Amino acid sequence: MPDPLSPDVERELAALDDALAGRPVAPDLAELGELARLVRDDRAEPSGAFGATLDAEVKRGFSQGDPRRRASGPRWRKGWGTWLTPALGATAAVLLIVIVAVTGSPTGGDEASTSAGGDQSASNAAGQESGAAAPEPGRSPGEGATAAQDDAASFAEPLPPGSVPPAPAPGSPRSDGRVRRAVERSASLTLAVRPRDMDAVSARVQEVTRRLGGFVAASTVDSSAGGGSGTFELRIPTRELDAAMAALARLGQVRERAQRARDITAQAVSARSLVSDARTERESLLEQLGEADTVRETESIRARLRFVSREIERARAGVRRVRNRAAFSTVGVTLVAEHGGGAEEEDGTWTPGDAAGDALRLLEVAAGVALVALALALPLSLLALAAALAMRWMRRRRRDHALEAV
Amino acid sequence: MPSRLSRSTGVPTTVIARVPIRSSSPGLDFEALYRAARDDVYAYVATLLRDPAGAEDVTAAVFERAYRKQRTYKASRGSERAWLFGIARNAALDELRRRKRAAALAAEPADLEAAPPEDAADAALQRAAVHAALATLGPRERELIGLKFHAGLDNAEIAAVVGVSVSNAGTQLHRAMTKLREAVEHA
Repeated sequence: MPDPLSPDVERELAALDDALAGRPVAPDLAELGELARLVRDDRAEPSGAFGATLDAEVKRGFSQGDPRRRASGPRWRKGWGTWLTPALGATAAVLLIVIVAVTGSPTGGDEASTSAGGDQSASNAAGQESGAAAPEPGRSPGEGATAAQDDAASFAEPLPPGSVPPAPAPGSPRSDGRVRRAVERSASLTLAVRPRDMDAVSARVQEVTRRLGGFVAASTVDSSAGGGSGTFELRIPTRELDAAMAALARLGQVRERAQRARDITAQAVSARSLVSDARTERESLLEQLGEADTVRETESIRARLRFVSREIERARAGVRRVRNRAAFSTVGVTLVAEHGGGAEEEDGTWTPGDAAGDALRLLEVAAGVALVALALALPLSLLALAAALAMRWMRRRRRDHALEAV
Repeated sequence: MPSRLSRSTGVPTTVIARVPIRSSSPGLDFEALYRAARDDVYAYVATLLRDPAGAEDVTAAVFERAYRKQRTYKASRGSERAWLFGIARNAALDELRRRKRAAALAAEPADLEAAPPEDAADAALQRAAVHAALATLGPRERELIGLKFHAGLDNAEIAAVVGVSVSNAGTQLHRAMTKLREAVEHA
């Protein structure tokens, strides 16, 4: 709060104004008034040449360069003014790119985030059903141990849609040196379809399955006006599994996709060994039968032969089962009804509902971009404001210092 | 029958009036401000710099800067003269800061002995004494003297230019005048 002027000071200041204005001054302040007039008369006047030059400049609107300008303003202002704004803009752009890169694009992330992982092992489908023996259908302890070993050795990782499980590296712990391996493969697929397309897509699933040489093991389709669902258990020839997955994926929007591969080579070898062992025993029994001398001995050997023959049949059935597991893959397809679902290939029409959905997504993206830009601009603006205030304060300080330094 | 004229007749001459050039800024008539303040700005800058050549450079720069920034003038912040002299002050201080020697190397105090006392009139002698006394003032006092007596600003405008309150400007001005009176008495 400034102190008010004292009456004497106010009086003397008023006398100064009166003297400058040519008004009479109180007698006791006449000397002050005379001093004011003398100071006023001491003022410097510009030369006529300078006045004429400046008048011409003003008339031209300072359109041409004037060497006198070198005295105008601090030099740093020109330097800062020329690159400060571009530098701030470039910094903002770089930060925006970094933020976008770090946060990542949501496009395609839905499928990746919902893809289920699957066990996978050697996945060479060609000839994977080779060399299966025929053991008893009941699982032997050794077979169970082998399966458990396979399960323990299997690994899981997310599979993006359309990917194929890679083959194991040579010399992996799973490898037993066999060139041709038996691999059981399975897959699951969840598709989003429009409710009105549920029946059509169900029919297309069966059509694709038949076309590729497979069959529908089980299916359940529930279609209603407001939604519906469908589940299919398909058996697809393993060599056509990839083609089947690709064809099925085109029937709707893929919501989840998983593939699993399991090495059953040990089970195939075990089944074949059972058949081979039973055959060897039967041949031995046949030889014993030819050398039998008594009726009792003969009957005993024949009973044993009947048993061994049944063993062989069971072992052959086991081999066929293992072959089937390798030759046909199980594909589980789940259809879910979604209003925004459906493959574009399925229905190319673009309805007002689709347009509304697209507009909503566009607004969401725009709002996100605006939010990111705001989050970026706000601190930058505060920084710029603080910098501007600091620079202004420093400039004022420098000017005051210049006044003191004279 | 003569035709009846409905328009003015008998006007011997056509009056042509010069239309003043309107400034691009609706609130600021730059040319009028220039005409009214050119010499004042020069006088103020010369008082501050005490260098006639430098004062010309700075004065030219002041009006160029004011011309380019005239759209930024807002009447609510003060008078046109206060705005112009604010620019002048900044330009003069920037020049002082750039040179850091302007005042020291500028015009020397008038040599009272150079004026022949016998031949000089009393008024001339007094002016020389005042000129010499001004040179003994500090830059801040000299700036206030320049704004008040050479530029013709009132106390409110001086306060706006210097950035202090009106009463503070009055106090500083009174203090500067007191020092000037003492300097004149000792001259």
